[in-house]
Amino acid sequence: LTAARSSWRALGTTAELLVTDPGALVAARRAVEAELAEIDRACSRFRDDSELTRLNLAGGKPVEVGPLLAEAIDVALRAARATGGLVDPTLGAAMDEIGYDRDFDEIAADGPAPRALAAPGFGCVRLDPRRSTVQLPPGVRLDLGATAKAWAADRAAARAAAVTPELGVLLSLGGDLAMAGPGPDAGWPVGVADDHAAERASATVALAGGGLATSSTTVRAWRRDGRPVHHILDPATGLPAPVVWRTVSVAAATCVDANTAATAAIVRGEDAPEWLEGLGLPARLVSAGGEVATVAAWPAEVALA
Amino acid sequence: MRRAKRVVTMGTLGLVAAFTAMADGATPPFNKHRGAVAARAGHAVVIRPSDAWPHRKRHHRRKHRPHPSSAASAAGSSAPAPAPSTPAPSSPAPSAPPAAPAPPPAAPAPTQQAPAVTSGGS
Repeated sequence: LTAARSSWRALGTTAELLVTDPGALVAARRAVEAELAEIDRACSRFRDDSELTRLNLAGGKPVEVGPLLAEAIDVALRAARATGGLVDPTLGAAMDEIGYDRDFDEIAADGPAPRALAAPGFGCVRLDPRRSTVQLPPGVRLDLGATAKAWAADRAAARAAAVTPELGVLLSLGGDLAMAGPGPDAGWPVGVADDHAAERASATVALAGGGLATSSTTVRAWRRDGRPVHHILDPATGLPAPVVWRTVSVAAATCVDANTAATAAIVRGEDAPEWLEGLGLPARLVSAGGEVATVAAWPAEVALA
Repeated sequence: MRRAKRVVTMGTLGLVAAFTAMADGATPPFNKHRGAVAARAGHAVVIRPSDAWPHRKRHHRRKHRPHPSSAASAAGSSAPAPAPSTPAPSSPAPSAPPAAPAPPPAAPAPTQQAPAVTSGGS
């Protein structure tokens, strides 16, 4: 593969940028950094000065928001509708309750058992695109983690691809992959694993475009009351979803679509393969015991030497 | 005073008689509904319905589904964004059809290449 690469820390995880024209790498990285900085200022739950924090603390009053946060919330609500509420942005309070109220690196390794705080439900979010306002009922807090990083990958990849004509871009934000522009003839070779930082991928496929995302219950996991806790919550209970699948990887038209489906599959549990198959989404699921299931057009796996 | 009362009473009775005749005689029974045209003394008289009456002209409510482009412009953006794979209805819109994630433009293909990046949990 002929591509130039750059990687750095961003959004509390690793950003990896590949471009087909080495001469465009610097400009492309600047474009990605600018996009991510704007999204972080608007959508971070962990920044006191973000628009999202201001909205979450508004106490039920309508809040005027900028175009980025408005779009991020719209994307989150769309994901909620598409999954029948399995991916719900109103889990902010439940996330805080399980201890995920700060950057992951700063979460206490253990703590008291969390209370079950079911999601209030995405229907209570009032987004008025004409007035650019959002209103949440008092006490409801948004967490855009299930969609915002993947959506950021889509936007940043598109922005990087626009720096020069015919530039192919592959951007990974903590394992959420977005492609833009014309990629390599043989496609971008992409590995899948439980952890995006794993040295060895479990399987490798070639992708021509769109997005690929993996949701995992084994990464971003900690303990509460001595029991393992992970960050993918079931909105019905507000607690971590039962671990039927430890990892689900999905390819879709966009990274945010892929991540939405992968997260919903973790929450759905047993019937996730049928649901993904019905949507025609190529996917690879690894059960808690390590068995692999592939659905739709996911190819037979090629083991690396 | 008594004469004046008599004039008022007679006038009132006359008006009542006139309206009764118009309603029962001049207007055929099948036309006794709002908006009917009543023939009287060679003139066409339109009996206008009251706008306040519940039988307003019916407007068939259509579900508001903003065009994806207008929704995008409403949300606004300072940077190029990928084309949404699904429509973007305004929120909240419980009646809007769920927009399922769309499959990729090309299915993943098998490859022998080493991975350039890895998708995994983070």
